[in-house]
Amino acid sequence: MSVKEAVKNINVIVIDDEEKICELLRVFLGTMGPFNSIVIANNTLQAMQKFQNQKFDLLILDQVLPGKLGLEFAESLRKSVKFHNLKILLISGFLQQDDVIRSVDLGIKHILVKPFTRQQLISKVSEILKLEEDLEH
Amino acid sequence: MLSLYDHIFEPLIILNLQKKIVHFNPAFNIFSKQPPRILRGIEHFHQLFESADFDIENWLDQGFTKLELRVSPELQIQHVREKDLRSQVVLRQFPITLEDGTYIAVAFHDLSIEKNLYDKYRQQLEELRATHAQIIQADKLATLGEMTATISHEISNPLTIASGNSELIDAFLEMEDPKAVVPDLRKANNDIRESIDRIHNIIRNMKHFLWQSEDTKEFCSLSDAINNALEWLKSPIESSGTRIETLFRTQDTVVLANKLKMEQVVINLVKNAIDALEETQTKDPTVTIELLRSPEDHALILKVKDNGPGLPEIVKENLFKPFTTTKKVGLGTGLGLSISQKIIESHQGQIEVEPCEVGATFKVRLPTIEGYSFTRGDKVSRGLSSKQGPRILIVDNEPQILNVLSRFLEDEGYHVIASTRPHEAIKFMSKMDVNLILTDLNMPEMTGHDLAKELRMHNDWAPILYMSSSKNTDAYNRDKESMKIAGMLVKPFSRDEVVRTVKDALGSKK
Repeated sequence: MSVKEAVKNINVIVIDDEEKICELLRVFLGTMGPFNSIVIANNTLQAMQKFQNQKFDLLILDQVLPGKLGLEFAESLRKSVKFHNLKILLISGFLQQDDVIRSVDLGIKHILVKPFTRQQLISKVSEILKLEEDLEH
Repeated sequence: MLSLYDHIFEPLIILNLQKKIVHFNPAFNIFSKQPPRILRGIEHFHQLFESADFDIENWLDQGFTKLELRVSPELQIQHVREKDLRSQVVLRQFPITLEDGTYIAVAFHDLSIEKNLYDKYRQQLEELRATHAQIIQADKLATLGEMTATISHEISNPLTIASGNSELIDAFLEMEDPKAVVPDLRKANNDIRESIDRIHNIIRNMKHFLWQSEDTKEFCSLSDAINNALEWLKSPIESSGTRIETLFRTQDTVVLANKLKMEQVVINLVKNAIDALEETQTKDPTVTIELLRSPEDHALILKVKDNGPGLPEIVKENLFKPFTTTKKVGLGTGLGLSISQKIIESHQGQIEVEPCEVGATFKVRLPTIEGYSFTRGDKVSRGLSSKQGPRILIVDNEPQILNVLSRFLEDEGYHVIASTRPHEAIKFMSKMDVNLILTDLNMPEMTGHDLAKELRMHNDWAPILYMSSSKNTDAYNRDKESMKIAGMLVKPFSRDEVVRTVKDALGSKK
């Protein structure tokens, strides 16, 4: 199954307080193919509401969010069995070693460092979703 | 008979009226480090001493003609027979009359030790000053270091937007008909530009915060400084979940201060509060920033309160001493409060801990601008000038106007007193004489017209100048005769206009 086909079944949620970055993520992800859904939340409260309405396969999470750090939010998610296997991609411009260790503990194996290119985003997402990446350049 | 002088402790030589040296006292042997045997062979003063910056011979000659007590200025002399020896001295010459005639005595008041001590003291003071400046800089660097995470996040966001949009532009240009997507291209390019501006602003603020060290004070609004400081602290505030409550209980928050230093103080106080709340895991952490005018003397009071457990008694005692910190090693320098105190004191203000039931409250008190601008501009009592220029009182609620006018008028040698509030200005006028008043016409507290009326009612006839935008000349035309308004400055004004109008108004008084 090609990536384009595969993403048709994938639901993504993006949590970032920066509207423009959410927009970019949506456009970049769109170039992989038509996702089943890409949902945007600007803060963790909004995100929790979206989680109640829908099931997601991938969470793209910014590390610095208003009121709470991305990792803290991930930690609170993992406490619920429902989210034990949720795939998470952490985005950050600045991570200290403690944060990296903490994210590994939380089962977050993929971190995307800002600023990122479309290709970097796509390869991380493909890796996480275990998709065969199209070699398009 | 000359040996009478041998009992004097001060080094002394005695010359006859032919300017030949006839006697040295024992103290002089010690001072010049020469044995009597050598000194006996010396007849002339210049065989003993030279001075690079003072004409000793000429000074001596004058003494011989006048025959009176003469004291030289402080000077450095070089010992001719002892090349490495220099002394800092004050010379005194006086005539002495003995049975066999008149002589001139020259006494040496040796100040070398005092001079050395003074030089060393000056040098140490200089070093101390330099060290202090370095400490302030170190604290700024430390603050910045603690904020690295914030700053790099602040920068990486716009950077991501910029680089992402540039990729989008590439993709658009690859399309078959790029013209069809011109609006999209424009939007992408705009986003890039905005992002670059954001980064530029962050870097500029950082440089400003770090390197603007000159100590210029100007009229500025403390509420602005607080808002700027909160902007700086945005990320720690958000990530700690602290609620910030600002209670500005007064409209008039203008102070005469270095705005950046005020920001540094607010950052220090608020950051301390946030850290304390976080460390003690206080529920519903809240920091309250309050601005009010003291009911007694109208000084501006800033309070920073938190709802944490308060300060431990042991910390309270040493609070403002350098290197006092309750934070873990590596998290704070312990300099914040001591530096804040230095800054506030350099503005004639005070900082203290206010006793309170819940949490800790820091209270900063800054003087009214009327009082502060008066003492600051008073060159006579500060010993900077022997003559005082005419006193000019400026009343305007816009700090920028106060800054511009003070600059113009102080350059001309006037003593400027500034006020943002007509009531405070009237109070000041009742205590002090002023040569000229410049008042804005439109002020929220009281119009310039009412201010002039009030002063005239109290029989104060100092010349008054109105300031306003052009549409307000009616008020001037109406009051010109009845209240003796000396003139009108129409905003915006040039330096020349201001100086000329003020000069005319001061001249018209006579």
